Amino acid sequence: MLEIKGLDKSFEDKQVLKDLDMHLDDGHVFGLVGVNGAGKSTLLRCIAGVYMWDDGVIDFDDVDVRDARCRKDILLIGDDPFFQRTSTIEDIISFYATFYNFDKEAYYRYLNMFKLDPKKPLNSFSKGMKRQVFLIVALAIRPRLLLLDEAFDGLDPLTRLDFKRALAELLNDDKVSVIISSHNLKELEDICDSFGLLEDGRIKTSGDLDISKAMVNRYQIAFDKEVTREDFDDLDVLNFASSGRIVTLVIKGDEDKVLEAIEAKDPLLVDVLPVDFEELFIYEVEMRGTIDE
Amino acid sequence: MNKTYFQYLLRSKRHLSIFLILIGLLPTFVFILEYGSYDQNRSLDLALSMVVFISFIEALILPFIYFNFLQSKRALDTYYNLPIDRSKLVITNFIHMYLSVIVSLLIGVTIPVLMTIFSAVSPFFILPFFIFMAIGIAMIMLYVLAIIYKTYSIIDSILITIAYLLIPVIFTLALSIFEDTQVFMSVNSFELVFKYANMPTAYFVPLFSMIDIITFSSTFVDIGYGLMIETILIALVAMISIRNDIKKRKAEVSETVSNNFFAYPLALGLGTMGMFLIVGLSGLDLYMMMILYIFIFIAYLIITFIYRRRITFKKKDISLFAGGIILSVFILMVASNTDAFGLSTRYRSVKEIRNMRIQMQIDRMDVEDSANYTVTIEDYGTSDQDIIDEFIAYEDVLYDRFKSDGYDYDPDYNLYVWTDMYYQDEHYNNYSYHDSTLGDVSDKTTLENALSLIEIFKDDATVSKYTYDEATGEEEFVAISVEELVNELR
Repeated sequence: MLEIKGLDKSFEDKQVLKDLDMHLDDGHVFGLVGVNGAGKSTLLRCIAGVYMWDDGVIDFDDVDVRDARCRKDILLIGDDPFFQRTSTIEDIISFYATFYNFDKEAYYRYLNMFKLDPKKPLNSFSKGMKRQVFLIVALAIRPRLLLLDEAFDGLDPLTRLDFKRALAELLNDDKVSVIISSHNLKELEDICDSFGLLEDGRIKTSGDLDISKAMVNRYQIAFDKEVTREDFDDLDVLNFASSGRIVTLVIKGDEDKVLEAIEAKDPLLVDVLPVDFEELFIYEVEMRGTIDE
Repeated sequence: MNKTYFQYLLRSKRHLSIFLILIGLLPTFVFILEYGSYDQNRSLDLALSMVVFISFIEALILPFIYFNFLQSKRALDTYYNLPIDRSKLVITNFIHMYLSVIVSLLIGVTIPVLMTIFSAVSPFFILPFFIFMAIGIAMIMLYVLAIIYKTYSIIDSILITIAYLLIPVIFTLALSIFEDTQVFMSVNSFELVFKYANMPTAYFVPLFSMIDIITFSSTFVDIGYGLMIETILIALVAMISIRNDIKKRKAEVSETVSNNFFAYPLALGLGTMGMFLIVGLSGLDLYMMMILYIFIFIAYLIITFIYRRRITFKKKDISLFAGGIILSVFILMVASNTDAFGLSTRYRSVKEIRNMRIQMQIDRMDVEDSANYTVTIEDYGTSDQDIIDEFIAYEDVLYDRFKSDGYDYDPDYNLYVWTDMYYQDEHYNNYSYHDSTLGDVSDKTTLENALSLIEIFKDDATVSKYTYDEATGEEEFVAISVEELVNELR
């Protein structure tokens, strides 16, 4: 279980994380989303024990992550993982096997799955292949908390699918948790069961992804007269678009209650459509007026 | 130390270790090649000297290889996430690096030493030699590692390491000029401070001295407590600094501008200040000084561009440069008005002087008769206040001339006048009155002053004339009187 309380982290005079709280139970895949520069990578590095923070607490199973023993259960795969210039996959494995319990059987299985030559230097691999190498490392180490920063970048669709399958296999162990940060929210939607929106240095919105998505819907409504946004002030409207007497609204709230409120405005027709994770993210951010230009 | 990580390093760095062993064997190869062609002492001297040089270079370079992960954000993401304490990570790396060098050097030293153990080697000094070298290597490695921690990129680490090796040299030069132009004597304490502050000297001097002992070239060991203490001090300060930085240095600073005070700000400040002092003390005319200040300013700007990784002209940089010039001029003015901060011996109260001794040598390089001509007055001691006053007056003449004209050379007076004065204070401590530089001029005025001084001792001085005939190769010492000397030289 990961517990973060009152986390502050600043770089010189710029405060990136402000009094951030976060809680993640075991067995969950947490999608960390936020606009560019929101502090996603910073948060992951703090959790990984890479960055020292100014104030607050980060405990994994009630142990401070700065404790080296605790980090045996935490693995960070950064957006551009490090390797020596002449390293082969075998060198990388030798390095990680020094520090972690390394499942060699799983390693060979995933190596076959991704069809990588362990003797070739990593320098000769494409960006996507390099990423695969480190994903194999992560899968073979089976850490209790896996931190993936921009994990899907550079992977082709087929590899992405393979990786998702492998990750699902890893998650069969209900003690394993994963935190993934990515800009590709469509990919996250398939894997994550919970999410957190990092904004202004805090997790502003978080929770179960399905529940959150269920709480935000797109409503297409036809009226016999023209309406304005102000007519829906009683609802938590995230987005409003009108075309004559037909309006499309993205509204946050329990679907039944929202429908009840809409019915009260005598619509001619109401159609409810789901939103995906990306839309949810965009509307949440837009509503706060902080979208990254 | 982390045992598992150490074992990993043994595996992963085996190629580097083999390379170091091969380098370590170079002196042995050279020794074997030289063996027989020269005397054994000379071959051993060469081999051991090579070992010292190689150890120094390795100790200087290897920390950049072993600790390059500290200067890479990507690497730190990996290394600091590992389940190993940061201090253990550093210690394990350091021990592996250190042992790699020591083992390779041991191999490099063993064969030459064994081959000469019964003939050329003074075995008593082999162990101290190696122990001192081992301590020295640790000192250099700690020194470089401390700088690596204070800088945030490999290129900065290298530049700042070089800067901190050069800065003591710059200040030594400035102090040397200060001694010559302001203090008028050799202030050994300054020399010692900056000789020892210069890390390579602290490493090489005792080791080469020990090599001389090992190969029977000398019986004197120039180790001294000063060097011992300095070695320990450098290592200690570096260790404290590293220990502090292991805890406090943030991962996010890597690959950023090395704005740590001990990196560019201090190195650039000290280096520039040292250069200002050299220019200010050198007694050049204003035009030359301006040219030199412009050169220093260009160098200063180039270094600030490298420091900030961009070409920008900041008011702060220019203000600091101007402030540095003003500060250096202020320091020099204070020095000039306080008799070199009270260090100048020429203004020492005459009452303190109980005894004075002069050595004077006048070399006349007379080409016409192909004979060198030397007159020496030596070891004349006096406590006669009148004579001491004469000394002071003589010195004042030279000093005033020097202040107004600087050095001068007149080819018509092909003479070299060298004087060295010592005095003894009431506690019987000996001091050099000045280092004779003022007398090292060859013109009529100097000669006249020297001859006037010689005449003071005409009743007591011992004067000898040395002649050498180039044609026959004959040399001769003849005792002459002061009058004869004066007549001949005039």
